[in-house]
Amino acid sequence: MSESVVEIKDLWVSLGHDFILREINLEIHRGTFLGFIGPNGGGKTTLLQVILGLIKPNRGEVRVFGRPPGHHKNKGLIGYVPQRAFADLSFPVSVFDVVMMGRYSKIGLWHKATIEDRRQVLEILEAVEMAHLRDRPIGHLSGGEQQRVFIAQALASKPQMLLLDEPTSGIDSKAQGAFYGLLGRLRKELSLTMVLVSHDIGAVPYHTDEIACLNQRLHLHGKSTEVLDGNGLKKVYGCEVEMLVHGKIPHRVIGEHRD
Amino acid sequence: MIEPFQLGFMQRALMGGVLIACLCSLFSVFVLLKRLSFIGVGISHSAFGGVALGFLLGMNPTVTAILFSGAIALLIGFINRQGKLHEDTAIGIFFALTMALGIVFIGLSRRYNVDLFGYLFGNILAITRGDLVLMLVLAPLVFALVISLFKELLFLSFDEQVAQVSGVAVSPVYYVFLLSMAVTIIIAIKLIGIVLVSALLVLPAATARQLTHNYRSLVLYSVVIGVISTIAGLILSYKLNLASGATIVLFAGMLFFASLLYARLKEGR
Repeated sequence: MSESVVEIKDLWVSLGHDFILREINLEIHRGTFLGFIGPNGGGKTTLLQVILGLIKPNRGEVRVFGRPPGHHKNKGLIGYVPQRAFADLSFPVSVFDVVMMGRYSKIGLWHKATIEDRRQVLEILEAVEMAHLRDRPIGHLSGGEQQRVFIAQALASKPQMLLLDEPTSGIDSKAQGAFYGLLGRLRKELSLTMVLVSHDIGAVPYHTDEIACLNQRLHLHGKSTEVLDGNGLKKVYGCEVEMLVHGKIPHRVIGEHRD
Repeated sequence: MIEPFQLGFMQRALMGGVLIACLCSLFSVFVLLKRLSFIGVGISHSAFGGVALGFLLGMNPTVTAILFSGAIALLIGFINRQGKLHEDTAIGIFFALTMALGIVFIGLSRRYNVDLFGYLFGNILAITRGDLVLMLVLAPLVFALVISLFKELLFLSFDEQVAQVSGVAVSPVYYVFLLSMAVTIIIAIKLIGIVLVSALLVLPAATARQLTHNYRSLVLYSVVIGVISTIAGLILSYKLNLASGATIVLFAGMLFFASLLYARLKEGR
């Protein structure tokens, strides 16, 4: 088994009075594409933010690249694409400017972007197939295009791990296939460890190596291929998953967890 | 047109005004992008407490106001970053408390002949040579500081969390920004007044925003609009014998509505 980039032992996190994460034990290995699925309020975003060092746990041990989360030596090693209600349409920056922001910490305080920084930004824009729109104001792009730009921003500091929070919300289902294709390609080309959080349990198992079901507790963790056969769903999620037909679109629904 | 500026006090008002306009307009860009206009109001009103403290202690009111409002700015920023109390609640509380403290300080100082009206609404006649020297020293410093942190401020205005994760020193940059804003507000209140200075921290960029989609031109247009408003406001206030601060703010407001109209017409074309 390859080396762990994230190690979490007995993690408990409360926001307000209630624990939103309980007894989480998890290892993420280098090069893995892990998908977290689970209901809203299940703690998916909180777990990402703990890994990023944005939220301090109440209890437990978390190591990211062998160091505590938020450690200054981890800066630039993790790219983060948060869940957004999409960019403020009025923010006066171009696609190129947005991606360049991702390099600011590398450029450093008091310094200006060099030709090399501009070259790297263009390179990453080409990788996400957005170079042709580089001069467009960010607010003039579609949801899917904006999301590609935010991924480019997260990748601009050349991180080793990319964390994505609900990256497909706001992208129409046609564009979602291409979007996952892009993630798969980037992961191979840049040798990235990827962690994706989504409530879209239909698509995630098809595009990730491993999935984990998070509803305050971690009910997983298994190979996505095992999950794809009907029995695996229940076994790996540790919860009831049923197919429901609502209108013309089938949905998978996660039932109550039995702890 | 230049006749008013042959008078000494008008020359000082013009020099001070242009410096203040440049600074306030630069800040207005981030006030617009990070939606800080209410913080501007909170900090400027806290200056009343700071000025009154100066009267009470028998110290230079500008110095006590810089220290007092600087502390309040940091406190509002700290509460905002803790996330336990809503920012607008914190500002609403400090806004009222510092004004109340100011009134108590004035009462305790037993000095009722001070030019409070001048501090509240601005008085260009009150700009002394000393004030101008202070502006000439502080304004370039603050301007250079904000320009040197420009890219970090841009990123944290766009997405603070992502900026932090990517390694930008978000908290120090934010506190330095708030402190610089407090200094700017204090050196601007002699000209514009406590009540109106926050308008100059909003209007230039709000007007410029109607004219551009690019942040670089936004900065340039804001500064030009701020300087034009200040010079035109000073001339008009002299000619019409009106309060300088109010005239500057009203002129800036007029430009804002003109820019809205321009943007609407351009859209419709």
